[in-house]
Amino acid sequence: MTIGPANDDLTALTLREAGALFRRGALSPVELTSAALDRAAATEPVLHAFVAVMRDEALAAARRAEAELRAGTDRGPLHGIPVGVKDIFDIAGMPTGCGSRARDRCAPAATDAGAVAAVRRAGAVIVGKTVTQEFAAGVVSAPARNPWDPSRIPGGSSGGSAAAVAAGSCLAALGSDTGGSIRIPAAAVGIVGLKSTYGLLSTRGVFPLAWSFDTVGPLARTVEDAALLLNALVVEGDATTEIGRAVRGRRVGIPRPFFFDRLQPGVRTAVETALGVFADLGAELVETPWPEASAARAAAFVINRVESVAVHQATLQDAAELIGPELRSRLEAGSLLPAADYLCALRVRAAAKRAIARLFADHRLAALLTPTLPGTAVPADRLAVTYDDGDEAVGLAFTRLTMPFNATGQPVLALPCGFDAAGLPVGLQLAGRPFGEAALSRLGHAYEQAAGWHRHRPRVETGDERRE
Amino acid sequence: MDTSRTAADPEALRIPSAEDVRLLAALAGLDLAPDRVPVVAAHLAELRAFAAELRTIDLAGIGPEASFDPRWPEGVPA
Repeated sequence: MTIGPANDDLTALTLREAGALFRRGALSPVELTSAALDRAAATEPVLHAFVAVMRDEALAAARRAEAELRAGTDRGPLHGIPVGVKDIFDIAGMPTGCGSRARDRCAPAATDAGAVAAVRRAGAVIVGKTVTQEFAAGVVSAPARNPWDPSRIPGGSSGGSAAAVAAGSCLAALGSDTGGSIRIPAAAVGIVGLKSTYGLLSTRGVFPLAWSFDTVGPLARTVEDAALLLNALVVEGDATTEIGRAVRGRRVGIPRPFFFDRLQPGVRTAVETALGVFADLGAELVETPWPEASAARAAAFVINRVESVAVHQATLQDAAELIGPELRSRLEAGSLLPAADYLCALRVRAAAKRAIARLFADHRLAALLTPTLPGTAVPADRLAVTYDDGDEAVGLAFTRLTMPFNATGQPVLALPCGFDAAGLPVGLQLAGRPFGEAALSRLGHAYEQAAGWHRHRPRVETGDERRE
Repeated sequence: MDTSRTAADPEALRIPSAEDVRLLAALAGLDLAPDRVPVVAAHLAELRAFAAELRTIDLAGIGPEASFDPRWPEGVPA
């Protein structure tokens, strides 16, 4: 059986398209939410993107949104839009399972996380909690699968959110990014993910992974949709202000050493082709090596691991058997690392930030452009990225190009840039100046509209997958 | 003073042995079953390799960016 988007598929609408239909009375939030819930019901046996689908609550929220809109109360672009929430965000009245047995007996959350409360205030309809890698620490997100090929992983740790958005079970979703956990699944399933500037958004009520890197942000099918969801999360500012403006003359840095060193051929071809699109749009492409990138990644890796130990220290001491074997071993190893290494990593992080600031200033850059992942989604039963010269464990491979920017804290927009020969999505990332989400959206939107990859959607089949 | 070190530093590159891991785990109060020592040692070796890479950067004049606010919380009686 094939479950695919028809021409009149409501779940293919962008936020702006759906909103326009709502306000014309041509579509209701209940109809849209029902379509998303139906898609979830049809695809969940294959994708396992959700921990819990909140059908009754979602339909009730959709009815409220419909009544409000009819009464003239307009909460903005998210009003009546079905949204998924990663299961490390608190939702009042529900347990925050974090994908771990260690949370099996946790009490339901008393209040919504800051981000959840924000999207509710904006009128969004929460359709369910999505699957995460255990405590957001990893890139596999089992049991969730990739809508383009359910034998493959969706990436992680926000893999359930990404799979749900790609499949049309929600129009957007909340995720978190500490080492790449928004950008990695966005790339693996061919959607947009935005890692916000560190500190821009509230992480209240979001289970921590590593405090000095944790960020939250949107996953969506288009750059504008991601920016609109981000707008609902920020206290002030508008990430859409530059969307639609020309990118002619904008300078985009290409840091080839490190970021282009070891890539699958299909990824290299897609990203090089994307560079040509940016050039055609009038962007000035500048070769800008960032010599500290590898050390920045190392710093992010060390800080991430050590802070994770601190987060889980009590469980590690008292109930370690409840933590999955992979994460448990990593936490135990992290607890044995000398404190001097952690402090050295903090110093390298500061040095990397100075270096990237200098790079942007010296070359008058609007952004850096790199591949998001060195390879496409890997099989769930073989967790390694294969290159011409050998394999690399997926946990290291998928975070290799994302983690340097967690070290620097910059905003990074990940978006699709094509497919490999097997029909699997390839992604690129644009890293900008701190709090420069609007400028990134301008670049990303211009590329997206020119390239058109966002129009491709997966058909979820019980067997082979293919692109439409 | 240049406090940077190079990746060639023997201590920085030393791979922890199973015995190292057993001793460190005991010091840290971790209950580490013998059959789990090799996998933890492998993860620690990976971490140490990243830590060694940190020493490739010149850190002269750069301290850790860790913020601390000495002001007392609002509402504390004078």
